[in-house]
Amino acid sequence: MTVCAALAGARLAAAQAAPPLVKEDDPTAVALGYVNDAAKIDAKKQPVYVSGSSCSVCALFQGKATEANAACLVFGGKLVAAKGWCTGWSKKA
Amino acid sequence: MKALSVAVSAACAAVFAQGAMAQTPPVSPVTMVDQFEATNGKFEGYRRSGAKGICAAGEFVASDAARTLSSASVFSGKAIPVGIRFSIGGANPKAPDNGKSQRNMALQFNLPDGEQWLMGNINAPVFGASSPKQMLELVASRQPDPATKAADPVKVKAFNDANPEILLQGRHFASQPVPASFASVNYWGVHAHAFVNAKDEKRWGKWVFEPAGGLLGLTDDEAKAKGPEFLFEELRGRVKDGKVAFNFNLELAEAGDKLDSATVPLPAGRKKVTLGVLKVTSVSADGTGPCVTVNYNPLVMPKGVEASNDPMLAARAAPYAVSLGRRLTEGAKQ
Repeated sequence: MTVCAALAGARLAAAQAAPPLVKEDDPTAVALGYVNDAAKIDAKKQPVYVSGSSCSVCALFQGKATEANAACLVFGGKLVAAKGWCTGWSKKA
Repeated sequence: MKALSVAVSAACAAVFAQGAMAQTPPVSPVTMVDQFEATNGKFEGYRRSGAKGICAAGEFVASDAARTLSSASVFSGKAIPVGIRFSIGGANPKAPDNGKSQRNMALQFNLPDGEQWLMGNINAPVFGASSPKQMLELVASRQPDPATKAADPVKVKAFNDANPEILLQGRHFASQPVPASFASVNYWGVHAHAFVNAKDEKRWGKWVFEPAGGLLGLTDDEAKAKGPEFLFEELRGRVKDGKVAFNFNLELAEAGDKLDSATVPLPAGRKKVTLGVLKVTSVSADGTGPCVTVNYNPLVMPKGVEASNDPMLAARAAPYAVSLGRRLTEGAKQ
């Protein structure tokens, strides 16, 4: 089996069930300070937050800017909210 | 001095290879990645550690014993597709293959219903730092002086003297031969995890992937003769011959064992359970492949496996994310 074939199989399996949405108490979410709605961030408590940043304009966000939820590369395939944010945020080029 | 440099490389190698729980004060992941770049150099598009790597694929089949420990779907006994990345520690994508430095085996178990298990494993039983603060200070202590282009030996010695546990990993590498193959070394998980079964019974342990074909190292003369580029082709040959497999073994902790430090292994002689066998079935022909943008965040675990309170485990997710974000904007490379 080639690497590509293995990947195709994995993608097919993944496509057969909708990935879950990331919960804010998910271990990665806690570690990254992920929130479903960036508007709720207290900038004093989260000094690395950049005003106006959100998952939809992050390099790690795998969806279109118009999608409400999409996969994020740091959450193992789980979906994040386009309006969400975490400390891994990196401006999409 | 050689031992020192091995320790530095080793300590740094796994952090990005493959967010802190509320430490006080928390280490900003941006600060951490910035420090890695300042100390180790910035190679655009590449991982900030474990930069020289190759994608592979395989499958995992669990043992009956695994199912008594955990209800996780990865242990169903059915063949689970696994994405794999083998790599050399450090930020340099041209790091030599024939040094006594870190080797990594990062895994992505692709489970039913989109669930994943990501992990980074290294060829040492201990990590290079016990907390994100210590890791940041370690890397900072090795930052080259602008005038000499080398780390300040006074700063290095002062940090080592104050943090002796950071030298344990380097000493392990120095005590081992240069690996003859990515497939001939042990890869430890270094962090403790809980395995939870259907009865909600919880067993703690640390895992190690041990090559089914046994360990194989090179003499110093053999390593020198091999040169700096041989591991990828060697691996392709072994996999083509169907010879690469690892036993996924769990060392079971006992009462009183330290579970919250990656610089403290479990005591020798702990009972070991084989959770299953990972077979490597293919290797990329070049620097491309599905592993290039997988960040192997070790907090992505299946239901039935839980993280310990090890602060270094929790601290890996956020810098991994920052590092991947930078790589994507630069144009991610192997």
